[in-house]
Amino acid sequence: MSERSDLLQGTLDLLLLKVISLEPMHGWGITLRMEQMSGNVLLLNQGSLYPALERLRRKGWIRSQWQITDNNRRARFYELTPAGRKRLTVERAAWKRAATAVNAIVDWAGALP
Amino acid sequence: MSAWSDVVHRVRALVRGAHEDTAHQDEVRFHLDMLTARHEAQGLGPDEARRRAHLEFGAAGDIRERAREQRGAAVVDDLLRDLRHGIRQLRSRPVFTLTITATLALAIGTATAVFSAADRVLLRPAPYTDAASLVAVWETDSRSGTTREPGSLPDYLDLRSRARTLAAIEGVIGTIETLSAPNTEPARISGLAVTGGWFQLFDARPSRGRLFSAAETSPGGARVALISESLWRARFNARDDIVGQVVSLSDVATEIVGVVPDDSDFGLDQLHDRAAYHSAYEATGRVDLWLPLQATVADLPRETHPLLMIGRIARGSSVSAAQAEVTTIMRDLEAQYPENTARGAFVESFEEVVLGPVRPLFALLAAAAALLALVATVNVANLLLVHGTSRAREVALRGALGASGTRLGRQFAAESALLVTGGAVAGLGLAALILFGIRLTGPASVPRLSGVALDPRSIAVAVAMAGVVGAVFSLLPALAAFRNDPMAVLKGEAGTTTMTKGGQRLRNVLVIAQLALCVTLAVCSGLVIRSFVAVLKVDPGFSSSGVVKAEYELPASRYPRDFSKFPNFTEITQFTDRVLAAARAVPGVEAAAIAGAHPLDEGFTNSWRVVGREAESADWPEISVRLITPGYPETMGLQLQHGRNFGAGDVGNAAPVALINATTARRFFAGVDPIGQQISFWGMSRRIVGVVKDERIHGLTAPAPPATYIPFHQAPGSGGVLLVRSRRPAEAVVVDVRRLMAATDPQLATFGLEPFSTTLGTSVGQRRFAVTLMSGFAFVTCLLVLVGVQGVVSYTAAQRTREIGIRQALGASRAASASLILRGLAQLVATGLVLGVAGALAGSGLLGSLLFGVSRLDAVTFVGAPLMVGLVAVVAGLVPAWRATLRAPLQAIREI
Repeated sequence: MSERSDLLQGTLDLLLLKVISLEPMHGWGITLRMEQMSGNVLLLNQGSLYPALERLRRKGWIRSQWQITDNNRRARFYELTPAGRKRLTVERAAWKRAATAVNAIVDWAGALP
Repeated sequence: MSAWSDVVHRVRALVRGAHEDTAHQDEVRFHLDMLTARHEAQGLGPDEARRRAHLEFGAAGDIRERAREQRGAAVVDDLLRDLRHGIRQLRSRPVFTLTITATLALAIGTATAVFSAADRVLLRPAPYTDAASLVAVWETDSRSGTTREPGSLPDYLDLRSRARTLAAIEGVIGTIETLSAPNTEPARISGLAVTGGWFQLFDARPSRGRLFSAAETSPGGARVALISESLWRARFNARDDIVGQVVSLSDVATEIVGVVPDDSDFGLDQLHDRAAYHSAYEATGRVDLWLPLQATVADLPRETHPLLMIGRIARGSSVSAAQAEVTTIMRDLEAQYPENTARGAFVESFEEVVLGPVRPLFALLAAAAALLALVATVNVANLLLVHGTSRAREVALRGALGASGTRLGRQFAAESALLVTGGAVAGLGLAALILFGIRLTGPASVPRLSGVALDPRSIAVAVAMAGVVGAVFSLLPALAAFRNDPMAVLKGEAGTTTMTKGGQRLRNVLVIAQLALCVTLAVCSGLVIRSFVAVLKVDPGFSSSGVVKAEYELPASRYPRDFSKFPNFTEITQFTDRVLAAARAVPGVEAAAIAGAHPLDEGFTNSWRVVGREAESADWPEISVRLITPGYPETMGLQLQHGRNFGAGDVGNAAPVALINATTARRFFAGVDPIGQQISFWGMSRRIVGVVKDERIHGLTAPAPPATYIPFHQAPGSGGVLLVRSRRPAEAVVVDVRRLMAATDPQLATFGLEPFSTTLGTSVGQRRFAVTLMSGFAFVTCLLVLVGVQGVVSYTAAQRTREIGIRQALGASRAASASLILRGLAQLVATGLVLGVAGALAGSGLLGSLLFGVSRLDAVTFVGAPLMVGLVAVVAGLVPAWRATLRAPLQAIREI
């Protein structure tokens, strides 16, 4: 198994919103999808997933409903609300700004000004 | 997230909490299954795969907890936990819990009951439009000094046409009618004959049919009647075709033109009750029959006063303006008509007439209930304080283990809430019970008392009271417990010195307050009880035991009174003789008589003269005229003081004779022998043949008025009362009398058929009611004081166990140890008693007319009641103190 990395503080909401924005999916599906999308690098702490989903739901960014899965089991499927979609845009912009800034610092090669 | 959506979310979480929990469990189980499956696919055994899945996921319960925290359900969880903990705490101290709940129930129950009754009787507005502008218009008589007399029909007509300050004025005359319908027993009904605008004055509307027309309320109008809804249901089975039915009213065919709601009669019984005298009418708590007043001024001339008048103050005018104007009109009438000599008017708020007499009673009950509630509250506060202090160790320990202050405070609040809720629920039950008792035994003279019940208003009062009490209580013990130094408590010095100085003082003040309130209440109820005893001891001038009475009203159709033949009304005389003969033939009957009115019925009065002293006697008050058959003194135990009783010879054609009572002899024949003197009224003179003792015909508490007795056969009345003295039990005699009345005239309605002792009891009903409630309050308060003092002394004893144990080990006697504990109590009791007596001195003035034959500063009561309370307090203290001296040495040794 390749080396894994814990989630950066504060990024869980963004990642969840992004993953759910692709299609409605259940908690287990979100776990799988996140591992797959990050090339098995980002590992979701299983225990923190559901409280986070609950938090997003309370904020009105996602909603859920019970559906039948491919292998015929009942599971709660989450999807984005319009407010969630807007939030994703905001968070993504914020993340990009922050990441650029962090990269700029980390990759600094020039002399001190 | 906004505060609002947070609230919404939390509320929804509360409602859906359980459902959400299972949903979460399903979701987590699904996830775990999937994780397990993946591990299995990677080659792990099923058990190991599941174990790994659980490890990775973390404790499932923990997730649930955190998810729930997110949902905001934690607050409720905490609350439930507090309540569960509270229930455990309370169940571990059943005596403490029961005492407090019962005490709170008493306080809340009595206060709620008294409020409900007062609310229903006093606070609700009269069921009339703008009742505040209604006034009773009385006539006054400056010669007799009476201020509340009915008016005459001509006076009424003059007032109606001349008074501008009154928008309307109407009159009513009470009447008693016999209602007969085919195949039913005839019933006798109290009814009212009303003037044309009566119902319009009150804005009363018929629920069926119509009101009286102008023609019907004029002389010579058609014979019609309105009936109450109750009568419609009771006598006519609520039949739909009631309007237009013709019934027989005292043998006159009468058409029923409508049905009026039951509350159309509010206050009219009380109006009759307040009048110095009134026409034949018996207050039954409800008017069932309404007739149009069709009398002419020829029927009811200016010197007869049957009409009770009610007016409505004109817009922009006032009671005092109306009083001034009506007085002016009456002065004109006085100048104009000799019949109106000395006549004036008194205008009085109608609501005051109805509710005024019962206000003091309810003020007293409210004060008593408030005192009781205070004592109970103080008691509970004290118990909780003691309890809180004794829990100091628990609080200190839990505090040391990390429980936050708010957490502990919440814990106490939860316990108080449980106690108060229990007390409130039990209290409402108690209130319902008390109100049931009031409905059952309350005197009919108090308006609307029969309708008292728990309603939303009274429940709201109970809940509010519980809320306030609960809030106070939840603070008290917490304060007491927190005030202690945890270190001292935990080091074990707690058992001896947990009381802070302030806590001790507060507790002492509470005990003193409780004792003082109890003494005040005990003295006041003692005064009321002694007054009641004094009332029952009054010599009424007649003897009620063994006597049964039955009243009747003879219809004019079959028992005509042809005044050209006065006093030989053959049919009435024959009826009287036949009834008396039948009564005397009943086995066991010792004596029987017929009278115009029974001894507790004030009957009617007449103006009178003494022959030879006409000028002098013209200014005297009217005299009560009592019609009796010769057997009356024997039957009622009326004693002859002088002269002779009536005999069989005093019949219609014989020489007119009269007896006078002692009051008449004393006031008007001072220094003269009345026997042989002549008195005159009704245009004829009578010779006085005897003087009899006074009968208290105005009730036990009122002195006898001047009265004269005349032979029934010399002035036969259409109404009468049969009085029978028998050796047999009253119930059997009642049956006998009903049978003999029915046998003599099957169509006659007999009413008021009861043992005369019952009549006597009813006449003091309002007083008995006050006595019952007051002594109930005093008794319960004493009980509470007993519990309260007992609790405080046990606590003091427990606090000093070690000290007492050591003293006893060193040779102190048990009596000395007990007195050590009780010394403090003695001071408290003494202070409480002194304050209580002071309170009673100030408060006994409130008792007003409830006092009778007893001074409001009655020494016996003012010494006896505090002594009794003090005794109760000492007994309450002795028991736990003595017990402590038994236990102390052992316990002290164990603790060392």
